[in-house]
Amino acid sequence: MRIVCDSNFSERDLMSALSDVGRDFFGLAGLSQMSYRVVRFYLNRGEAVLKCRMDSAEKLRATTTLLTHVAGQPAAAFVVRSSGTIKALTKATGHQ
Amino acid sequence: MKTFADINVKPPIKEYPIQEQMAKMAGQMGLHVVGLRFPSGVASSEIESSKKIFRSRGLDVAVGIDIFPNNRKQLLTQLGALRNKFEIVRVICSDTRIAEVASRDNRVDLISLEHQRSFRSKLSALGNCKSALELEISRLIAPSLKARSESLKALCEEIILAERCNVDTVISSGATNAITLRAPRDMASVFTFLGMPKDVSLKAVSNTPLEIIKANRDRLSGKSAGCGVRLVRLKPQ
Repeated sequence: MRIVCDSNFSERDLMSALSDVGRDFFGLAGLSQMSYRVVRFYLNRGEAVLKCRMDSAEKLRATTTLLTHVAGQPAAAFVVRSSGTIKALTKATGHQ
Repeated sequence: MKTFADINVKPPIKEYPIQEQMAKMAGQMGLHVVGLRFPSGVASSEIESSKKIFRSRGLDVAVGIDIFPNNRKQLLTQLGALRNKFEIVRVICSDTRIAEVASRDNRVDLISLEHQRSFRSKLSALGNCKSALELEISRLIAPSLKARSESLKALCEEIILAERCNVDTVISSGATNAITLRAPRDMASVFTFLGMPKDVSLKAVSNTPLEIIKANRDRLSGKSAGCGVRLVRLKPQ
């Protein structure tokens, strides 16, 4: 996913923002079912690779869409690509 | 590969750096067609410069207008004056009576029921609806939690009614800057969780808006005389 935000933020800020939105939209039960985590984080590119359960991929996509703030700053995020493996993902996006 | 469209992008007038950012981000998000939406009364030079900015990023641009009529007469007058100038016409219905008239008028492409509070008034508006219902994601990214929960409830109702009344839906961002733009597949996934079937939600960000634009472009270019009527010129013998 790519995150557009005017100020710098950390991996922890991103996780916290996603869990806030996920809890608001799907509730605590829905959030825990997603069981997502940040696998790779590239601050310079504003990109992150997230891993989640396969049946929760759409749920995570919806959570990403509703993200409006990261670290208290206005932000937007969108899914660049989703894939079953990290290898296929890096190949498709052309990033290492 | 699917062609995606967001037909409700509201570029801020004369704010060219913001428009540049929006155009760049729209391209990155995988949009192919962007519908620039302006309020009535915007100078045509401003519309042209916004179109140019978005086209420079390789996007297909359609221009639309939002109409906010206060009564039936105003609605009909505005439709008569503006229909042949824009590719997309949306009516934002302030009351049930206007919603009923707008939904049955062939000149209206999209209606918005954002200001309709009751389920019954929405039902009467969508009962014999010929235009598509527009659902904006910007309603869900409102700043306060209360406003968001109210919008969530209203959008769920609109999804149920659109399905019950067989009304086409269009999902759009309603973005006013780069931060409020959203990717088409992502928007579709939100509406899937609100109760819309997945194929319908994907159609609402691709086929349905593209069909509206195509039909209106044909009409504006003189290729079509109306719904289902195509003009064919024959060479004299």
